[in-house]
Amino acid sequence: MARRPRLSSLAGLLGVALLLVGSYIGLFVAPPERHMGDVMRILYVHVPCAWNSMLSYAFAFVFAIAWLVTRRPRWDHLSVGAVETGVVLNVLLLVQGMLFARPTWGIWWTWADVRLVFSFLMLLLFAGVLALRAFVDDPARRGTWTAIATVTAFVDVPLVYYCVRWWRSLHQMQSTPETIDSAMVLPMRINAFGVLFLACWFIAARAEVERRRQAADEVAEPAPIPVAGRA
Amino acid sequence: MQPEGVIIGGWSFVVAAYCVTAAVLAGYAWSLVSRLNRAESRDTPSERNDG
Repeated sequence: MARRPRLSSLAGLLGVALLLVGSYIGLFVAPPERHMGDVMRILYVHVPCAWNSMLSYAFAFVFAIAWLVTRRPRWDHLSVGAVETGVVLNVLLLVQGMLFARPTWGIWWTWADVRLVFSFLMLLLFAGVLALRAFVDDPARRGTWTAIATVTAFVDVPLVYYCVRWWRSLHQMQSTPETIDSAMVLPMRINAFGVLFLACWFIAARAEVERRRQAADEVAEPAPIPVAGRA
Repeated sequence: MQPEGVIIGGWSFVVAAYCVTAAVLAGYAWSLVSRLNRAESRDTPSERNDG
């Protein structure tokens, strides 16, 4: 019997389609920016990855809290999926940012900018959460430790978002649809939803991988069978 | 005459950014599908319950 496609798989396909459309519009239809010219087109992938990286980490935070409250393995699996997805998007946003920084600011990287430093710190913290899982065998203890680490690491996420308002930074302040040309808002929004739907599939698929891995571990190490002593 | 304060060109950076994005997203998707297929081939009847 043919298997029905999961909702998350459909979300992934929709995400890819939106990214293709949004990227086409961003590359070939949207006008160049007044000062940044065509380099501005990098932002049509950079900003969606940044938003969804932080959103994935926010999901991980919620799933981690849910694990700590309920201890249901499902929340641990989803938390791993969200952290790993966030890390992938975090790596992307840093690389895209460097490719944007070189032609606009004349540098690949600077440790003097708060947003760059906090974004890099965010990557290290959540990559550390994933590394922590490798050191704990017991599923319950592993879930608890990584949930606590996720909640702690999440402190950096609002810092990344608001630091441009609180401190001086090379980054401009957050833009709004009212301050951006409508021809530029469209590819940004399409790509943002594209990455969001794709991230939903990533999270669901990675959670399923984790669920199957833990189920296989339980089968490999069954509980010891009590043996009655001789009379 | 080239206007001041305007970046000219830079398409190589734009292409690089989109190529890196496509490669990383496609690579991660492929790794997930591979891991899922491997897990499915190991699937056992006792794997029914989800917490």
